[in-house]
Amino acid sequence: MSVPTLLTRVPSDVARGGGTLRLYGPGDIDHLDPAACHASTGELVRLFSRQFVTYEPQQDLRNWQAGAPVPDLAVEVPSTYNMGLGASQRSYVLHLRPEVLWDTTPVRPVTAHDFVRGFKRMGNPVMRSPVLTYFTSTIRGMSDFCAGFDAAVPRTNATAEHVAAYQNAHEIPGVFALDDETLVIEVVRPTLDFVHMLALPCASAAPAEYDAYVPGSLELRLNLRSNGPYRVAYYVPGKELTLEQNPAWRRESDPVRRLYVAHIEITVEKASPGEIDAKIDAGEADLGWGSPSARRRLDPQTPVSYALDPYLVFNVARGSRALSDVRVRRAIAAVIDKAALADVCRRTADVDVRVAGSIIPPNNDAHDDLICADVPDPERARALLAEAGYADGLTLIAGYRERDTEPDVARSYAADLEQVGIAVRLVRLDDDAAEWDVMARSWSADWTNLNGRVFLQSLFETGGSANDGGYSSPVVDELIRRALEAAVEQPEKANAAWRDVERRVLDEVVVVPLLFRAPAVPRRRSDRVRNAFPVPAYGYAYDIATLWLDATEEE
Amino acid sequence: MVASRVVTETVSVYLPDRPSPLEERRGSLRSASWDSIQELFALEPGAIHLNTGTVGVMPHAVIDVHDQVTREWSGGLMDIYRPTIFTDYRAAIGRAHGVDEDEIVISHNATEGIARVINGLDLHSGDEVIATSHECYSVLSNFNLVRNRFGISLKVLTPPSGYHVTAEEIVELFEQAITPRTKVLAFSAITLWTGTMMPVRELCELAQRHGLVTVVDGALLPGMLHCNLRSLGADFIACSGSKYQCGPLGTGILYVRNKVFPEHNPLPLPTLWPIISTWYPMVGSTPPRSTTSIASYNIGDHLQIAGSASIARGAALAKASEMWDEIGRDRIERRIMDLGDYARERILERFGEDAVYSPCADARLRSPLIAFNPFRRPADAWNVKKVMALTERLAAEHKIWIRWTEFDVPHSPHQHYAARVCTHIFNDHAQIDRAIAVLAGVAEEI
Repeated sequence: MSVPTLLTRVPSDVARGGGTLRLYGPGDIDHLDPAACHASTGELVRLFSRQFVTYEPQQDLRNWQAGAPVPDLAVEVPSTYNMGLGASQRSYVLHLRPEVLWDTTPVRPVTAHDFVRGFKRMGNPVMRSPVLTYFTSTIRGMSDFCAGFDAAVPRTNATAEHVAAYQNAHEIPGVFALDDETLVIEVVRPTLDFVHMLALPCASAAPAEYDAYVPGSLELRLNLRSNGPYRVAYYVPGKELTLEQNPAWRRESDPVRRLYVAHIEITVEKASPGEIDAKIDAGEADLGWGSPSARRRLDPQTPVSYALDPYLVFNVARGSRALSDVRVRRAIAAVIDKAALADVCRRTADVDVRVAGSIIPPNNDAHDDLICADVPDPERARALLAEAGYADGLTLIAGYRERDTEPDVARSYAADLEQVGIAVRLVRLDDDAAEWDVMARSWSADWTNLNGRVFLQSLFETGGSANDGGYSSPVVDELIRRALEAAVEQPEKANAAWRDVERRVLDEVVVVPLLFRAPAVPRRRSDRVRNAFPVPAYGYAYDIATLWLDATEEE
Repeated sequence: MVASRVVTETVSVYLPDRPSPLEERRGSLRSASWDSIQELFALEPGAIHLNTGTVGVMPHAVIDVHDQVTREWSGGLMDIYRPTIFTDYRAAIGRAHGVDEDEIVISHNATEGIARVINGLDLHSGDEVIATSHECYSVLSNFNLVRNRFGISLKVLTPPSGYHVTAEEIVELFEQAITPRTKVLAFSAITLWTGTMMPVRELCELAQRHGLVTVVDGALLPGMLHCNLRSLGADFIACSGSKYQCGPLGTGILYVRNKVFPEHNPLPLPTLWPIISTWYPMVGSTPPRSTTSIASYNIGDHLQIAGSASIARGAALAKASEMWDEIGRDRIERRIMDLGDYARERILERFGEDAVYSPCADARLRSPLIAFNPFRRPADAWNVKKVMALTERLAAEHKIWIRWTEFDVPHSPHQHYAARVCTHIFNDHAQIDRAIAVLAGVAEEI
């Protein structure tokens, strides 16, 4: 599957098939199990694992419908007016599109029972979706189902038999198939953003074949089944992934995706944003992977959803004991020079960032422009540390991954902490088992409309898979529950409820919001990539399923 | 065909020279057999229409009036505004329902009526409204709008359903929900989902004891019950003209209490802002509302006069109402309820007490709408596909028109779905027998 590196382009405004789309960079290609995938891998997973609803690429991000779900595997986006949502607003009826097939031998239709299995797999304790709490707090009985899963199946050394046995012997009361073509999902309260949840890659169908593999395992990734336009053809974990066209996919059963590019090839390498750009500019790659940069500055009037990127997480559950003292966390928050950090990011990655004072970034529901970041105050930090009994300093392990700006960010805040006597040992995180006390992470919106929950519930609810520091507070959990209840109120009230959550976690310094980062849109791409438009819910990545490549003279 | 001109005070109506079946029977409708009355309706031959809860069937004479008035007013240079006050029609319809012209509005449908009332209520932030989850979307949608607009709170109760429900249970449910902040009770006279004849008078008395405004969705009332709207004790009753009254689609009747009869409702008249009006003064305001049985102004006019309107729909609705008066509304009510009772008995025989969502034991709550789970498995009550398939097959294969409904059931996590049949005077016992038998057979196959 070699591709010439020097291509003579024949521009084509007419859609054409063929060619290999080449992606290059340090991004993730290993979270391919739909049940556990999130963020960047979502844009890949949707190529072989379709959802009930999804999003279309957008030519104009100012379009009010830019973030609205459209039907995918479901015949319609469920609503009261198409009999897809009961009058109580708590019962969704999803009618599956006919002729959507798995690439099994022989091919067979995707059924509502596959979705039941998919929702159960989402709750597996071995490798869970980072956004599982969206579902456990919403679907009737899913929380208990997952608790039972936890009790029945060990998190480590679980076998496929363990997982399948629990899944096949237990039901989520609020998720049931009426027949092969119809699924009912009952929610515990009217949930205005539920259709967005249905668009998440983790809300995918799962074929019975998946019962033979441990969720997220290499074996599973090597045996993925597809109901989308592409399927995995070649995979070396952490290094290379090639997708090829899925012969079982039918254009007439997919209202959103197309099938132009013959192959999609992702090469994973440690590379700085500048190195990725150089590859693209030289025609050696078509798109970046894992460290996107923009082709040009976006019109500031375009309402794009910023990410919280980065924020500093404290490992309060398993890290240094010092971090359980809010005064220590406040000291750390007080000494970090966010403006300097912003300069570092701009310098190393040419990204559009602004200093963050709050958790919810601009252009997301409940963002508060009035919350401003404090300026660094080392004196106050020292006083707080002394008050907490750490006048002589302490040592923390700062974890980072070799990706994007993470190493530079870690070095920057480590230097700030050392000013006040906090020694920082930088540790590269190669696996989940590595120990760390603090870590800079990022979080972007899973959807862009009605998205009050996406930052606060994921990061701060007890047991949340994206709650990396293991923070747990009954008060915050209750505030989150109230905010979910208030979501049906008018926007001011709903947003106020989320701001109550935000205020509380800011006061507790559960994390330190560092920067807000504008999405890279439109993303840098090679000249031969045509019809490339971003999908807001996928971090404004181009929709790979609808773009095509110019022909080369050789072709 | 030469047209003769029939002049009414409101509008000239051309009617054909040929006497209509109604005209032929004029004077004899009161004693006409139900078989002959069935012939008045423009029903598809062989069809069994058991879905009047959604839409009724117009009599031929109503269609004729609608057609003729439309023709008369097309392309003319006549004053199109004055006739749309519908003064005589409102007076006649009001008389049929025990009220006066100033208390009646001919609206476009029950939804428009309910929307104009809900949005016209003088509600403020902090006020509370109590409604039920068994209301029409139009009620819940408009109260949600007002909630978002003014900051009121909306408390939605799920009323009990099933064979053994009593009126006392329902009243108790509402009474328990009332708080010092409650300002409005909103409920249906007959719920469209389960066909529960709500204890309207008792609920209105409850509201009066607490000084509350009552908003009643009476979509199914006119044409079904021989009732005095005023004596129900409500402040507002929004009705359909095209369901049991069998007027054209796009007609409704709105009752607005405009004077105080202490024996019916001693509370002061509630403030109503007549939204959608060209009669509300452009300067100044309306007179103070009456505190006696004499109106201080015609609030019906304020609501009725709202720009140009279809004159034909008012004439046709008035014609339907006139026919009901001639047949006898008391007689119609008895017939509809008799047929409803008959259908209920057949349904109970076939499907059993547990399958029925409509109240049965308490005669006060029975209506001619009966909702039930037509399938053997109780779990099929939350299988919308089956009930959809049932209604579609009945229509397509047997020309039997029923409807499926959806609603909450207390203490059940599921949205329940039911088959619903409604009886009217254009039905008969044989139709009901056949429909229930076929329905049971198709349900069994599904």
